[in-house]
Amino acid sequence: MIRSVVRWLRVTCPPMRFVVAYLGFDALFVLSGLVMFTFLREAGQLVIASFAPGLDGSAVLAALSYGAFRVFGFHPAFRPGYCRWLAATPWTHRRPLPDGPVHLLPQDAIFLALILLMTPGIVIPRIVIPFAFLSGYLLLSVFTLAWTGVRLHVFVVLFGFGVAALLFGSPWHMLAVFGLLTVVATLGLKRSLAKSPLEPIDLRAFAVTPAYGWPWSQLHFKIPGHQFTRTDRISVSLLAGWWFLVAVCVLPMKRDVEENAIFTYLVLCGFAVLIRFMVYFIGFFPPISLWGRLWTGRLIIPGYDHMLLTPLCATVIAFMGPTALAALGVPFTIGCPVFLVVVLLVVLTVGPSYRKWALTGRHRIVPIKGNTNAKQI
Amino acid sequence: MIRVVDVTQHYGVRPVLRQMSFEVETGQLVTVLGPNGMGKTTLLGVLAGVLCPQKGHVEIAGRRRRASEEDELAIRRQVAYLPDPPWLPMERTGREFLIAVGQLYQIDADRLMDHCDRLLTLFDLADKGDWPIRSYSNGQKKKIALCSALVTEAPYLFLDEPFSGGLDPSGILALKRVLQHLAERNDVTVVMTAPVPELAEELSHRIAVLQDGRLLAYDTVDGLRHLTGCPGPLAEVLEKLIHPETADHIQQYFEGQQS
Repeated sequence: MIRSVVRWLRVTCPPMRFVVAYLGFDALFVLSGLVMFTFLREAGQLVIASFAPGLDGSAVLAALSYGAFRVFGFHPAFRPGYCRWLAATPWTHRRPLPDGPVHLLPQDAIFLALILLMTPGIVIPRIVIPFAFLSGYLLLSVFTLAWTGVRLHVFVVLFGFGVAALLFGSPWHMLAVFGLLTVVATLGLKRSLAKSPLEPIDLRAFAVTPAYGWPWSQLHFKIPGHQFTRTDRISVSLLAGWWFLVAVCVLPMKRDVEENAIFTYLVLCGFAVLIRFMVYFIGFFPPISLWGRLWTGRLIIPGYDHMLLTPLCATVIAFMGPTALAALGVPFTIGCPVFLVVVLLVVLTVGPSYRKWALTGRHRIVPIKGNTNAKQI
Repeated sequence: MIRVVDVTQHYGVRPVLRQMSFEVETGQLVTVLGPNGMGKTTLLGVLAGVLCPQKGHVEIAGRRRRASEEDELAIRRQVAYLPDPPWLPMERTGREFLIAVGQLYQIDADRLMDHCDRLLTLFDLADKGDWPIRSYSNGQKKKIALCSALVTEAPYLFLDEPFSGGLDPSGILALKRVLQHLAERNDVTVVMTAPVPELAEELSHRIAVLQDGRLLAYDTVDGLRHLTGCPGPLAEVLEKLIHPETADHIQQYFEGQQS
């Protein structure tokens, strides 16, 4: 009987070293608290709560890690060897994963209950533990879904985080939203397993420039960015606007809400415009210098300068948009999120595309010297 | 085939290349010679697609550089460019770097491994091949950079000063042999710059001589001799071509000393 229960629990049990580390940390906190209590009791000080923050903190961390582990440790995309092995077997997404399912099981509730039992809940309320667990699970799920191209679910989950934030102060409603998001993420993870061939996650793919050195890094023919589709760009813009609106509604403001919203909006827009400009500028310099332009009278070089139009338009829209809406009676707390979406849409979707720019722009390709992995001979 | 059509390039006020036009037949090895600052590296940059000329254009294998995404990608697949100085990923081993570049050019894995081994042996890097590039001497770094251009198996090679950068005699010999082999194969087109006319004379099908951003002459070594009326080695031919007055000045100087 005991053996079968252990076997049942082992399906989702995290590696023993992590369990031991968590228990060890807790034991350390308890011991240190007891020692302090023994020495200071005579002085009349009650320090029973001195180890509570440590226990609460480690419990939150454990729940978060366990939630992340339920995706990280079970989805083949995180395990290249497992992924390759699965590809060589008759396994299909309709069959259960041989090394345990990526969706949540009753065993997860048992482990979560154990963590809750070890949470004093003095500094951090116990309700935070399930949030930490689901946050870990959802964040890793979002990453996996984005990698495997199940984008609709990514969008819904990230949108749902905003809805949950709006319900801040009503934990049970928030938990219900998190529960719904977990269902969405689980369905997405199931869809992600159906992607064939399933490609393992390779963090090197996120490097800004592949470390081939000059000129290979910039002259090769695998231009990055094409995986980021137009739908993704629109989704990111809408999500950013939505989160901004949520932040304006939820975050406590010390000063005037509108003033804060405008300031944050301008910072975000400026950041977006700057990033867009830098991405297109770094490594792609103007064909002739400013002095050369002035001297030769070629003040505008259409083949290069058209790259500057989008950041310029975005800047104008960023400044004019909310003001125009305000003139129509729309408050800045609404106008700023709306125009953050518009500015991001311009920055992310208006051409030239990075690929077209890199391949056909009339620029001078120069080494990216910030690449720390490459040094000049 | 490479066609350079009416190319003018300037970074600032002074044009570095002026209305330059010439053609390189497939399978030829062309060396660009000329005094310092006359546009050799700029010409290589224009051919390699690093620079976009203000006027004119470059065609490689019938496709125009930067005309369209498809054309540019097709050209990049066929071109390997070795700048001077190259930048190398210092934390990678030489072998890892070669494999990464080979994979970039989608070379068959088995052939790539074999080619890496042969290149490392050829350039006396077999022992250093599995060490990070940062531990290499300058000459060894130059060698691994040369290997990276050769491992691509690209039909068009643009090599800027391949013989400079601290290459030892064995490295120079190895590179000479490789270039001679490529020149004999008739399917790899090489355009390179070289500081020493002797090397160019030995290796090149044609020599392009630049001065003040203009193509002063573009011919075979014999053609250049015929053009200048100088039957001597290429160094003398170039002297006559680029600095016709220098030889007279030297002669005048020594004649004055004797009298």
